[in-house]
Amino acid sequence: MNLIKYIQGLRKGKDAHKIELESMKDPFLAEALEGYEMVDGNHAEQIVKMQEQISTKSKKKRNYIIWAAAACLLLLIGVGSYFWIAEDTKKSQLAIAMLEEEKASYTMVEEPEKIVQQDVTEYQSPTIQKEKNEVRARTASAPKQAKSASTPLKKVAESKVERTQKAEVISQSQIVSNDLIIHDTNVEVTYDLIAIAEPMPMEMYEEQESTPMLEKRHVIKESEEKDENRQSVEKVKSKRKTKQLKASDVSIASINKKEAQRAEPIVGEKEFKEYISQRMVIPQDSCANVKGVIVLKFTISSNGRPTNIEVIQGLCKSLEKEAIRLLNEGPVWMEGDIPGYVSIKF
Amino acid sequence: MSLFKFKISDLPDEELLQRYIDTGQMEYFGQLYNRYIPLIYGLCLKYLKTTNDAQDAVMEIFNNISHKISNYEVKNFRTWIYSVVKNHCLQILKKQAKEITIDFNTQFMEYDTILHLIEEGKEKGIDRLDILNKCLEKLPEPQKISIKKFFFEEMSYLDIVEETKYSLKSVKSYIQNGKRNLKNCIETSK
Repeated sequence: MNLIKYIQGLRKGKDAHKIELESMKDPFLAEALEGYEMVDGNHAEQIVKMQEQISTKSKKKRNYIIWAAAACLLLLIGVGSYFWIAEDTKKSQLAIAMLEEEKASYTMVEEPEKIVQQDVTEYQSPTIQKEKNEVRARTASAPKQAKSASTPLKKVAESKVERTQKAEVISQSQIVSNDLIIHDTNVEVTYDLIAIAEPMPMEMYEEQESTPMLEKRHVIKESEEKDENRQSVEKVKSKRKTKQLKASDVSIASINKKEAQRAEPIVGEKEFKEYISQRMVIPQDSCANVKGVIVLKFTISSNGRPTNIEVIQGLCKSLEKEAIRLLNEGPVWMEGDIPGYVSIKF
Repeated sequence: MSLFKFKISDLPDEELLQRYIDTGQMEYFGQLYNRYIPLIYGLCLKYLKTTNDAQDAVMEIFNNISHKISNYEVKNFRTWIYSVVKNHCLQILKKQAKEITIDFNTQFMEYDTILHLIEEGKEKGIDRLDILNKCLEKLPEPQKISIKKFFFEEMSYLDIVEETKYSLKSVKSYIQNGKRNLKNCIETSK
């Protein structure tokens, strides 16, 4: 730069003249030259030093930001992929565990089911006595068979229950609970199962107001039957420990078991509840102040989406709509043949 | 990278500034500021009188304006940075409670007309600008010589010093006074 040369003292020739002429028009330049003349020192060297300082400053900063950004990105990718892989394996492990559990319970049920089929038809015909005998015979004869006998009993109960949708939830879970107990069964437990199974229809009956009288009687009879069954088993086994379980105990037990075996959102029960509470939009209409619980039933499609959503227990039209929306837009569910149930509290 | 740098140093002030404001990349602003460091440093020297103070001021101004500049509407960086640096230095002097001896109501603008006339005369030949010629002849000898050598022969102060053996200070004052005299002469003869 000519100006630097001029500052250094090379003030001859046309370039120098140009700068001097320029300074007459440009007060900035004139004052700067004035400054250089007033103060002694190796100004040119100082200027170069400062320029270097400025350029390292402006360059360093830029490089620093780029490197920082790169480092952050790398770190993010690293940590992210670690968690992603960890989460993925966790999920797949969970899914496999669930699948295996399901399989196990199915194989357990499968055999008795055949018997149940028969039982049910027989049972539904007026000759209740037959079935009663059968069951009694089975439960009484061999403790080993009692295992399977208990299941048909449950199944019978279920077939009854299926007539009423409301009670289905409970019956289902009850069956599931049976399966579970059967898993680690000895004969004692089987006995308990019968006891547990017995209050079921009662419960059903209580809930189901619309059940025709005839059915009511059926149910009562059935429970009586089971009572007999139980008593007979009691006699045979003569287990003093096994006391009759109260209906309330059973329902509590069944509710507890229900949690363990129903269809589950892949993110987990807790997360799902959180999602519901976060995303819930209370419609601003006549339903706005209605409180209660809506129960939805649905099946799970192959890609884990809830389909065929039906309202099992309604509350208010727009609230039901909201509940269905939440379920529809919600997380993916564990695949499986079990129908899913969701109760949403408003 | 070297190609990129080459390009950057070729950019005009306004382009560099715009790029800095758009991208926030310091490199552009550093480049622009470096261009003006010879001027800024000189200006600071003029006001602050010591190399240390002037250098501190140069770096301080850089830090200050690199953050703030996007808030200002800078149309001409040269005039803008001139006033910024000047104000900065004057504020430092104020803080130091030093007496400001420099009259900074610069007299440069008043020479504009005469400079213009002289430039015109140079292009067309002095003879054709009678008024300028007449007034030039009226000037005292040292002023006339200095003015002629400086404006028409394009010699630097130092060149004139060597040729005329006047001192540098006198050459400068001859030229300055000669310009003033010329201006007065031309204005009265109009």
